[in-house]
Amino acid sequence: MNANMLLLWMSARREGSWQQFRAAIEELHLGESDDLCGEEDDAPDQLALPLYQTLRFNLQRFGHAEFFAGAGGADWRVTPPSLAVTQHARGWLGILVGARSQALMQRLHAAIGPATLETLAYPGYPDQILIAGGDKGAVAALERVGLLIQSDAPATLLTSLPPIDDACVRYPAQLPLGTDWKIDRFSSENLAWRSATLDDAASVSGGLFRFSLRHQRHMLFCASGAAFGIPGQVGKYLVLRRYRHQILRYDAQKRLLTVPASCRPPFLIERALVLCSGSPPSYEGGLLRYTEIPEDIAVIAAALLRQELR
Amino acid sequence: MALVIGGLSLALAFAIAVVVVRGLRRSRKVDNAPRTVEHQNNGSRQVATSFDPKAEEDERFKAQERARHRTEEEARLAAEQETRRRTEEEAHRRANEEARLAAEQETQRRAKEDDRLAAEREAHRNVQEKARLATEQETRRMAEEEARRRAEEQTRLAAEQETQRRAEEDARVAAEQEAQRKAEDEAHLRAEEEVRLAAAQETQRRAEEEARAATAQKGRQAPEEKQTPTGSIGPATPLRAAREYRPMARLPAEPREPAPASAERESRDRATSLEVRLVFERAGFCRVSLLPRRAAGMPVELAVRGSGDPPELLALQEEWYQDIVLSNLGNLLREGIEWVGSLPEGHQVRLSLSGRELYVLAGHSELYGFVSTPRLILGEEHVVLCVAERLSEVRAAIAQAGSTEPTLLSSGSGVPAGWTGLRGVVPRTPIAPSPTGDILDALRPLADVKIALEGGIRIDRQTWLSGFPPTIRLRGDASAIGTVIIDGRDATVSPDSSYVVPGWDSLGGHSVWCTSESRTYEIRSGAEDWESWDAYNWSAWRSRRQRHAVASGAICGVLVRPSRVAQSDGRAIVVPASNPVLIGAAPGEIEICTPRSDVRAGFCVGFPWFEPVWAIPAIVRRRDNRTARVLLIGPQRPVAEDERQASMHAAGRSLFHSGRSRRGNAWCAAIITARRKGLETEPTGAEIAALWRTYERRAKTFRRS
Repeated sequence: MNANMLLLWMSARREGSWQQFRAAIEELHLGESDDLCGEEDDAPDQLALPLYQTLRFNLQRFGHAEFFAGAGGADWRVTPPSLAVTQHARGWLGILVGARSQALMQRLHAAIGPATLETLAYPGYPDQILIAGGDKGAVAALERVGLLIQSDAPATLLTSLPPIDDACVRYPAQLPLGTDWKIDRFSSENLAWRSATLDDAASVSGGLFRFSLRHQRHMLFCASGAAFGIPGQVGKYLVLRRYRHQILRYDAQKRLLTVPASCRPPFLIERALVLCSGSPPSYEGGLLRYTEIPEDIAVIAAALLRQELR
Repeated sequence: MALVIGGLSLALAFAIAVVVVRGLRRSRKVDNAPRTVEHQNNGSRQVATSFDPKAEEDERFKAQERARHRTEEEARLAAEQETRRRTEEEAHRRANEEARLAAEQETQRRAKEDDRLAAEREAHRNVQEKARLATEQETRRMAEEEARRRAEEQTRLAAEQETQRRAEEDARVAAEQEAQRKAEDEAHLRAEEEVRLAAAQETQRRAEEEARAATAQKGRQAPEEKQTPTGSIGPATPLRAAREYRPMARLPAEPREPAPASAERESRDRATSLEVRLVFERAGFCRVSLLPRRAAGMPVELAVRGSGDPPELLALQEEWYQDIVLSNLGNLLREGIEWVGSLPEGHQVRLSLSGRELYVLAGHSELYGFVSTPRLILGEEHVVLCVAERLSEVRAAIAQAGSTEPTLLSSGSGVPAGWTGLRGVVPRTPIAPSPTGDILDALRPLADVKIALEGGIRIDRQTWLSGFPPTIRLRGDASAIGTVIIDGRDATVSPDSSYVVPGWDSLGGHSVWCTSESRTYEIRSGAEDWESWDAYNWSAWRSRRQRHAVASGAICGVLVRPSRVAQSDGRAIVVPASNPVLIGAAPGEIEICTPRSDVRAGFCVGFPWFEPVWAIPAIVRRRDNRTARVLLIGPQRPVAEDERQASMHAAGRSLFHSGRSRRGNAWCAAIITARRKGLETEPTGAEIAALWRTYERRAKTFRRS
């Protein structure tokens, strides 16, 4: 069993609850597959992600499905079948994202025409289906099989996102009460979590704190006594910006963007990055490597992350 | 404190020393003074002695007086010193006492302070502990609530499955019973028909004989009276003959259409079953009786007639009448029993027991003793009643079922005449029933086997996704299960030990049956239409930042669409920030993308309601025509000569018509300005340049018009 079955199940149901999602992972025996090990955001951390969270993030990373706040009222919802089209060195590349069914795949194979279809398997991800064509029309013609076409998907996504320091990505919150919370602070120096206290959170001029108590986990950006709820990855880059710590590396010749694994970009920015190549980032030596990234995409991604490319 | 005490002691010692020194000096002065006086007195005395004895006496008296006075003075001084010493000692003692009291008070104060702090710490710790406990309790409560909810859900699901399974089982049993009843009725009708035919033939034969005899006697004597046909008058309610038990092969129920609620069916009388009950009594005796079931609507007292001349039935409880002991029960059990009674409403009710040579009795959840049951159940204790002729077969079958040797009960112990009882039958081994049906199937317990539907993609409770059906397997000891039937056909075992028949994975409902269980499943297509929605909508952010209404984007997967609030159905188009003006093929098709000011992006996004062909710089006059270009970003569509050729969507059409002249002028102005600047097209090429020139000409003519 693999994540293809999970995506087919999700596609057949359209949307559902988190419990159903977890039950499907149990029922499809996805846990028996041992090819799901790999990079994690905080792998050495005791709070490393369980299997269902890994699968959720993998599906969300490519845009196959949206979860919770983005799921339109459900706990998860599969996105419509789409083709993320980008201009590539070899021509035009379309990446199949979203819902799938046997009938849709049959229609797609039948209508492929002059374009070429390639299926790539990655552990923990549904098969990546790439459609390459010499001209944009050959790829965009697949709209007739029921696919929605998104031209210049990475650039369009990035151009539609707010930067990490925009006020709309955080919300006011209260520091948790009680003494049982395990409190960690993100260190911009070694890009790791360090133990901290409630006083640190209350008095710091600016820092990202993680409050953990059993199943509860809050990520708060604390600044001068105020606290804000914020996605963890956004908060990390906010801290890095505050301390002017530049971590993005870009190799224009290899079209390779590199970030430390502990500072994975926020998932919508990462979605744009992985859509450049159709492959998830590779993990090597504590670094995540995003391939086939054009320079203009790297520039706008860095601008959204308030980083400078080096 | 020690310093204070030391200081006080030193001061006291110094005062004592001063007092002593002064006293000594004073005493020495006093001593010297009398001595001088004495010397003076001595000289005077000598002089006086030499002159006057009275004076000498006075002198002596004076000396005595002085001595006495001196003594008194010394005594007074000593008393004063003693008083001063005591005063000083008292002061010292008081100082010491005060110091001690002060020290004690200080100690007490400190102790109290310590106690207070400890109490405060304890109180604080208690508060924290209470808060922690409250949090833990809340967490535990939530976890318990969640666990309870899950357990309830699982219980509900299990109950539903059990209900469904029971319903299926009941339906199957009902179908079997119905099939058996039909077969028995049919046999009964056939027998009756045969009897009727035989009687008719006999009547006809007799009539013919009588006719022949009458014809023969016709000449001899004239008939005095007309011949009357013979036959008894039947009872008001015809009593059926008792049925014989016909063992049925254990087969899956045929799918049945829902029967129409016809009056015939409603009025048809259904037989209520009679059960056989055996109760053990003292001294190894037993009592075998008939136990009529009491169906809904049956009265407390019911007069019946029929086989064995039964007495009136009296209700034992809600679902049973009092058991009946008949004298000729041995024959009745073998031949069957048929009773009929009248209900108060005038309907008839039948009670029936099909005759057979073997009865299996087991414990009952509602009744005491052993009550007849269709077949042996694995692990349960049973009593078997059989006719004497079948005893050897029955014992062999019981032994085959893995039971220990049962105890025989003869007619002397209460078993009906002609019958033998076997007590202590506990089967351990499942035995496959006979495929054709056999009375000994009642002694063949069914295997404890479950039908498992595994794998595939299950999209609902009993529904699998088309193309991903479940694998059908048997869990348990399947060796004695016999045939597995899927959709009415014998299933074959595939190499992976699953059971299949042709079409088992096709769309629609399917059923799986084996002798111990049946299940159903459905194959269905999944969803084939999916819609996008505003998963992440940044319109508020865009509006705040850009301070004007734009068709902002909402993200859904990889799609960027105008958000619902933008009321546009255009697609997202990304163009270089240097060329933000989008031009379509028809006059009026123009959209200006707003570059972002918050990040240094080389792109800007727009949501034109038309299909853009060109992207041109925003302020052409300020552009360097060596670098500025007119970009071809869409298909090479010729310019529209009239509005009907416009390529807009429905929502864009209304926008177009609402601002027709304004947008048309803007479209013309943008093209004409780019022409005046002499911008080149990109990609380069004569065909593209020629296309752009047609746009320029159309803009000029449109402006003139």
